[in-house]
Parts: sequence; C-alpha cells; structure tokens
Amino acid sequence: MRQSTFKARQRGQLLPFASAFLVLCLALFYFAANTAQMGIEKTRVINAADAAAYSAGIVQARSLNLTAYTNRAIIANQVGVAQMLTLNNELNHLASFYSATDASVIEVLGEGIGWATIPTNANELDRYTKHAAITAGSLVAQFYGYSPEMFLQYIVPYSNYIGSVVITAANTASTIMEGQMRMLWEPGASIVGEVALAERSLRIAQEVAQTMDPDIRVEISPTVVTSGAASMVRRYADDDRNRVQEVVLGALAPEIVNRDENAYSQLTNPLGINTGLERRGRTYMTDLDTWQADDYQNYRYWSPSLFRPRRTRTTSIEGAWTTLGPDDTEATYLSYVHNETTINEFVARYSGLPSIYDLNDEHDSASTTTPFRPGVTVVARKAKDRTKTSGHVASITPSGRLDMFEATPAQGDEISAMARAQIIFNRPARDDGFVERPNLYNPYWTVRLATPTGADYLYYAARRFWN
Amino acid sequence: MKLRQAKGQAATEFVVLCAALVPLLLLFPVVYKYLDIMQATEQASRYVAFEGTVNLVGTYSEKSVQTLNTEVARRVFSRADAQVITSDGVSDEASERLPLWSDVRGRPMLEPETSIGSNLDLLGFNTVSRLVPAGSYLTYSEFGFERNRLSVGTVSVAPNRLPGLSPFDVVNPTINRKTAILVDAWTAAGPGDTEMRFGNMTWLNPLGLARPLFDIVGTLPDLVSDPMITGDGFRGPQAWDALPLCRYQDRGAGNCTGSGSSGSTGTGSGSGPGPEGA
Repeated sequence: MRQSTFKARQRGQLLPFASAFLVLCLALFYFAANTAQMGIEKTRVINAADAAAYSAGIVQARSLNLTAYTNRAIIANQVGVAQMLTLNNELNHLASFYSATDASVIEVLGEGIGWATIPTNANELDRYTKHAAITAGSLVAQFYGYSPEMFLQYIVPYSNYIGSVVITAANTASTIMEGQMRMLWEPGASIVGEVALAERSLRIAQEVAQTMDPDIRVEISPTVVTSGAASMVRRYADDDRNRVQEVVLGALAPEIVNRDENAYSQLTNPLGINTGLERRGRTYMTDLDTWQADDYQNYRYWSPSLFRPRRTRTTSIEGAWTTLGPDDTEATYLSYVHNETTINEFVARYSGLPSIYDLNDEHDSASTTTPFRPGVTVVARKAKDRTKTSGHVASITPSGRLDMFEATPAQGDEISAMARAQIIFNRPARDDGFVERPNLYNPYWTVRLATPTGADYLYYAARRFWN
Repeated sequence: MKLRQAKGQAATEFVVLCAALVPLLLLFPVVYKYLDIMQATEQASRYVAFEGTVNLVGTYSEKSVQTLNTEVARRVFSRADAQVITSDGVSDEASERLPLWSDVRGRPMLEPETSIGSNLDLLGFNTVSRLVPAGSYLTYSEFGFERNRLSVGTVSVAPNRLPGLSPFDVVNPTINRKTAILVDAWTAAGPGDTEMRFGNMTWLNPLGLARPLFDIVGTLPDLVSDPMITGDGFRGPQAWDALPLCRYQDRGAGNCTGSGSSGSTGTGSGSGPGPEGA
C-alpha cells in the first residue's frame, strides 16, 4: 500500500517541474539576451555622443582656424600694400637718382667703388659687389645704346599702375574678409555669434549621429554659450588695431622696414679718391590708417690728394647728409635724392588697417595660468522603444526562425550618454624656439574629447528630470 | 493497473523536456557569442572612425584597408591580452584567437583574414552651409579647405557557419556597424601650410597681380635696377607666423590690448627716416 501510494504520487511529477524549468530558461534567455543587447545599444549611444561631440568641436575649431587663416591673409594683404608702396617709391627714387646723377659721374664712381676698393669684410664685399654691379651694368647698357632712364621710363609708370591696382585690390580684399568675419562671429543683431555657432555645431552633430543610427537624437548643452569658441572672441577695431599693425610690421621683410645701406671706397686706388654711396629707406605707418615710404640717397666723393676726377660737381647739394660716414668736410656731393610717398597720395582710397577678430580680453591675458578650455558638450539619446534586438541598424540578415531577433523592442524610457569635446591650441614647435600662447593669428586649433564640466552634469541631471 | 498505465511516463516526459531544453541550452552560448561579436564590431567601427581623426583619408598618412583590417582583427577581435604593436600583423592566430568564439567542435567562428572587413570612407556633404555660415563662404572656398571630411568607419563581420547547429549551419549572418565622425579641423601643419593656402588664393590675394612686375624687376640682372629692389622682401610676408609680442609665452607681458603692450617687431608707427634723424 505504501509502495502503491508512493508510485501514485510520482505519476506526472516531471512535467510541471520541467515546464517551470523551461519557462525559467526562456525567461533567463530573454532577459540575458535583452540585457546584452541593451549594452550594445548603450555602447552605440556612447559612441554616437563621442562622435557627435567631437564633430561639433571640429565645427568650433574650424571657425577659429578659419579666422586665423583670414587674419593671416589680411596681414599678408597689408604686407602687400607696404611692399607695393615701397617698390614704387624705390623705383621712382631710382629714376630720380639717375636724373640727378649723370653718366659720367657713375663712371667715376665705378672706378672709385667698383674696381679700386678692397673690402675688409663680408658685408663690405657684399655692398661693393652690389654697387659695382650697378655701375658696371650701367656702363654696359650705355655701351649698347641703352640708358637706365630708358628702362625706368617704362617700368616706373607700369609699376605705378600695378601698384595702385594691387593696393586697391588688397584693400578691397581685406575689407571683404573683415566683413566675412563679422558675419561669422556677429551674424546679426538678433542672432549672437554664440547661438549661430552652436546651431551649426548642432546640425553637424545631428547629422553625424543619424548617420550612425537614425533613431539617435542629439542636443547640445547650453553651456556652449559661455564655454564655446564664440564666447572668447571679440572684434578689435579703431585704436585696438594696434595689434594688427604690430603683426604686419613683424611680418614685413627687414629690408622693407629698414633699408639703410652705405658703401665707401678705400684709399687704395692711385688717385686716392674716396667715394661713398649712402642711403636711407623706411616704410612705416604714421598712424593706423596711413602708410608712408621714404628713400634718401647721397652720392659724394672726397680726396686728400691733389688729383681730382675729371668731371665733378663742386657745389654742395641742399639737404644732403653731411654727418654720415667718414668725416669728410671736403667732400663733394655729386647727387642727393629724396623721395617719399604716402599711401593716400598713391591710391585714391585706402581704408587703413582692417579690424580683426581675436581672443577677447578675458582670454588674452599673458598672466593666465589656467588656460581657458573652450568646448562643446553633446547629449545623445535614444528611446528604448526604438532599440531592437538586432541593434536596429545592423543587418544581421536573419531568415526563417532567426526572425525572432527582430521581434521584440524593449519598452520604457531612453538610454542616453553625454560627451564633451575640448578645443585646444596645439602649436608645433616654432623654429625660433619661442612658445605661443593661444591666438587667432595661427591656425593650430584642434579638438580632443574631455570630461564634461560641472555645469554640463547639472544640465544632464535636470534634463533627465524634465524628461 | 494504474501503475502499469504510468509506466515509462517519466522517461517520456524527460525525453520531451530534453527535446525542448537541449536545443535551448545549445542555443544560449551561440546567441551570446553573436552578441559578443556585435559588441566587438561596434567598438571596432569606433576604432576605425577615430583612426580618421589622425590618419586622414586622402593624405600621406592614410592607412590602407589591409592595415586597418589587420589592426582591427588584432586589437578588437583577438584575446584581450594580445600584444598591440605598431605595424603588427596577425602572426599567431591560434594563440591570439579568443577561445570563446568557437563552435562546439572548437573551430573558430571568425577567420581574421576573411571574416572581418574594415573600411574608412569619406562621406561628402551636399552643402557647405552646414559647415560655415554663408557669409564666410568666400574665404572658405578661397582657402581650399576639404569639405568631404565626414569619416565613416565601417566594419563588417561574417562569422563562419556552424555545421550541425541548425539554423546556423545554413544562414550566413553578417554584422555591420558604422561610426561617423567629422574630422579635419583645418589645422595647419606649419607656417608653410598657411603660406601655401594664401598663395593659392585668387580673389583675395592681390599680390598675385604684382607677380609679373616682380618677375620683370627681379629677373633683371643688376644692370639698371637697385639690387635691393630685386630681393625676396617683395615676395610676400617674410614671417608667416609673426605675432604680437604678448602672444609669446616668454616675451612681453600683460595683454595685447592697450598701447603699452605693443612689441617692437618693427619700426612701428611714427616718424620715418630723415637726414637729421638717420
């Protein structure tokens, strides 16, 4: 009886347990697979946030680099203005020199400077070589029936014409670029630069995220208004343009800024003639709106001997230097030429140095020990009901019974991630060994991922609360 | 009588249970292996896309597809303790293969040479307006910046079929993942890069108009011209990375605003030369 009861209790025992175990296994399978898939989806959202933040940062860095390139182009154009003014003044000066110094004098100087001198160092050799070349060239040209004046009478008007065209065009180009930068950083009275740049960054971030997964939405943390690239830029106009002037003059070749040059012969020729060519030249700004080029030139000789050149002038020339070079109270001045050109005399309209955009006062200080790190923070989010077991975008090419992997979207809230891209100035080593502070003259702005700020975390928390 | 009727019922139920449980238990690890591969593929696409931030497509530093495949196979789809070295290859597959990614007979689900495909493409933008405001389009186009810089890293993984494990012995699933990222902040490589971009400008670089004049004056022998005029000083800015002194870390002080900060990089504004002042 006991055996019979025991056996009766065993009847059908396995099936309920087995059914429960099967359900348990299926539930385990479902939750485990779903958890794994959610992990993959979370990874994707994190990747999308990183990619979108980095891309938004690129937009900001590009704006800074575009400004730096533009500033450099504006500076190059202003250098061009100075160069053309200098070239034209020099050519006119050369024409004046040949007009004031006849060929016979050049010949004498050729004897004195070109062939009868012994340079004592490399600099003198260079100067003598140059001026000997001028003299010798003039003699050769005259031998063939050409004169410097013939050349100059063509080249000077051509240079004047080209110079005026180039300066006008450079002025116009600078004005255009100045205006384009205004539209970049100050797009309109009702749209501040910070908002405009943030909007462009958002557009790119959205495009990037949706290229990865059409169901991911991104938004930019409002902290971009105070920590984005636009928050550290301002326009430098009027008297603040002195920084433009400083860079332009620094970019000019030294021989444009200061073209002094002297050449003196030595007491080595049989005639004992000392000759000297002395010149002074400057291109500079009288104020922030006016360029001026000045060139002066003395030609003179003196001799302690009783022998004199065959053809000389004996009168001094008004205005010529008397205090330069060797003390030669007995010198005879062969020529003295002075030419000056002011930009407003040369071209009809020159608007002066343009305004530029540069780091604002807050980020311009040389004493800043903790550099400002502009950046943009992005939040990426994906609704959970848009997640699918296959990862939605992935084509796992299911067929037949594998369709089950496409069947069940998760329900509920959303998954989200936050990432920040920092915009940093990363200048490679300079040839001169100096280290640059961040600036908008050289385009070395780049991007890296960084930790979001405290304000970003506050926004993130508040956003989740509102959501 | 009843006992006779129930005889073998438990065994039958056990067989029925096994018919449901055994495939399920066999399916578990396979599904999780696929999920694991999906996760790795997701990370691999990120790796490839971010490679585009330092090795731009179309530049000298661009990595070949072969190199990308090798790196991805080794750095993402190998054992976690596999060595990561520069210009590496998959040298010893057996020792570096992840042991979990194999079928019940121990054959690998992934073959690094054939199962994994990586590619880094550039996706073009239709309009520039998304990158720069319309107002600065002229300067943008004049500088010749590359607009097609949306780097898309795509990784495709096709695990081997699993013989004897239906339906994986028939289907040939492929896992595709892609990560997109905007790269190239237009950062200059050096002063030469800045000079080159300005030199290539047409509308906003009027110095090009003066080149014929410079050529005429510059190519003349020192016959009638002043050699000083023919010097390189007229070819453009001499210092392409000149700055206000205050923007150097160890020169100058204060900030760049105000008259006191101006450095002496040139003669500055003021009077020019004169006989009396020379």
